[in-house]
Amino acid sequence: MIVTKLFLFFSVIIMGLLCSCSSIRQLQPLDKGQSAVSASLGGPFTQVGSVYIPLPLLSIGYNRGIVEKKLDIETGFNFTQALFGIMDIDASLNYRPFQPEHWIPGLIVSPGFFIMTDFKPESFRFYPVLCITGFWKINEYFYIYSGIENWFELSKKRYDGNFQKYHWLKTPYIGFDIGKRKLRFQFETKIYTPDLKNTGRPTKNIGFGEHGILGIFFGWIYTFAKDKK
Amino acid sequence: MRTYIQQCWYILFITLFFNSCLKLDPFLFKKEGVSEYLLYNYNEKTECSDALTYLDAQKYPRAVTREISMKSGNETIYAVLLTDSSASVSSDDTIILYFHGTSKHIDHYWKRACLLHATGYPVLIVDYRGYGKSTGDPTEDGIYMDGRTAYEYIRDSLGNPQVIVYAYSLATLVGCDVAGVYKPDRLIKLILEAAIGSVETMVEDASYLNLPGNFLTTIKGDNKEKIKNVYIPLLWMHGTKDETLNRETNGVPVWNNYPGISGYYIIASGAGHTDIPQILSYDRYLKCLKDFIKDNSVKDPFLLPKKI
Repeated sequence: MIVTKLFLFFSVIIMGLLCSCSSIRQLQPLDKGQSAVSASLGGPFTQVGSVYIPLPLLSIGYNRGIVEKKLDIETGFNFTQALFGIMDIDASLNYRPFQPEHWIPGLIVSPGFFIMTDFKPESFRFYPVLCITGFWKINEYFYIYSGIENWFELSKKRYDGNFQKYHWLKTPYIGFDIGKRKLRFQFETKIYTPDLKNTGRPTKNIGFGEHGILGIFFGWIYTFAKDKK
Repeated sequence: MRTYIQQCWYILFITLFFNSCLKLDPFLFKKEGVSEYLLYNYNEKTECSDALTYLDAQKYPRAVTREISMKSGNETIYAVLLTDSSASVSSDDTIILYFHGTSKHIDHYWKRACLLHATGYPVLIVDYRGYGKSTGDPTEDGIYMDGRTAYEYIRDSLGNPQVIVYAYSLATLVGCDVAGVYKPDRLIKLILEAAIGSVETMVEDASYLNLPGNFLTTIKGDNKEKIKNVYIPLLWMHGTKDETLNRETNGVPVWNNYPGISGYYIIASGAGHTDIPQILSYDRYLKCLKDFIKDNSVKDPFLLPKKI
């Protein structure tokens, strides 16, 4: 019989996968040298006992403008994984080819990578990621965004000797961003791997029928004022 | 100098942080303690919940039961022996040593034990440390020790009958451990139902990715390696819809690593992790077991048994 604790075991395991790109989207462009800090909490709806709850995955991030309004760098650190002795960090560049205008969305292209390690050489994992986000500015205080995270698994063989079946994991997401210039809040919902069956695995999640895994995140961003020097 | 001290603090902090981490080992063992075993009177929902109804309808006699305790390291573990009315076991007999899954305790698997008893052989079902009335807390090495203790109890205190090990789910680790340690003079056959490949495999199946299991647990649970020491005849059963231990990633690698020359498998089409007997039907499930135990073969043509 599949038991509550076993579910919890695998629920926590799956968090390792499901934190790919940061779940905070820095939609507002940063000036060169300007910084922002962020935090997000949430995760995939997973069965724990008889109920489904979003896993409480906590991560923090830092953004800094590199090229005025065009390019910033983002780094993230995942706290929940750290409780299990896993250093789980990500870094990416956010390139903004154009800003939103009327109903034409702005675009953010974010190539990056994700590293997980427990400091044993055989346990080092590196995953390239690519996030593409389109966003609409409804007014100064309210943005809507949507996009897709792409996570690439480079291994051909798994650690246990079985073949690695999945090499491109896709996660579309949609959310809104609300607040003033300095302090903003985000709510995001995403569907992890909608093209893959969510059955045949030890975890039980909410998805669309037998496909995908539904997740929700709540985020917070504080943007520092531009350095006047 | 100040920078140097700061760096030392950072390194110390990071080292402490990542070394005082959580591990999920205890979550693999869903132990539940009891003060008394209820056996036939246990009313909670269990696997093979209609097995007793089936056995009564088929007029299988109910087993005579005897509770046994034995020392396993510093712990006392409990087992229940199911026999026919003669209530004795001798060296001429064959006994089934049943290693139940890692959920709850003997009562939870009692109906399955009764099914195994319906094959006509006595059955010893064992609670690992921390389970049921057994003392202590389960660990990977601890449950292996408990499995070996149960086998040695049969050998030394129960008349030294021939032993067939039947192991289910995560406890197939215990079954393979025992079958690989003791020589096949008295331990004659191994039956694995819904075998685990390794804890590593469970982690990777859950995440879709090539994530190391040691990120989250110190339990190796590597059945793919343990099976390499097993040369006695093997019967492996696995459901095609097993979502707890995927057949392709868990059962098949174990089967492929079996080095013996007398192996059979039964792929139960449509069966999940817990319902192989029902999906096969109790009649066919029992017939398969009887054939394998008695004749070292599986004759049911509908089950497509394969021999290496």
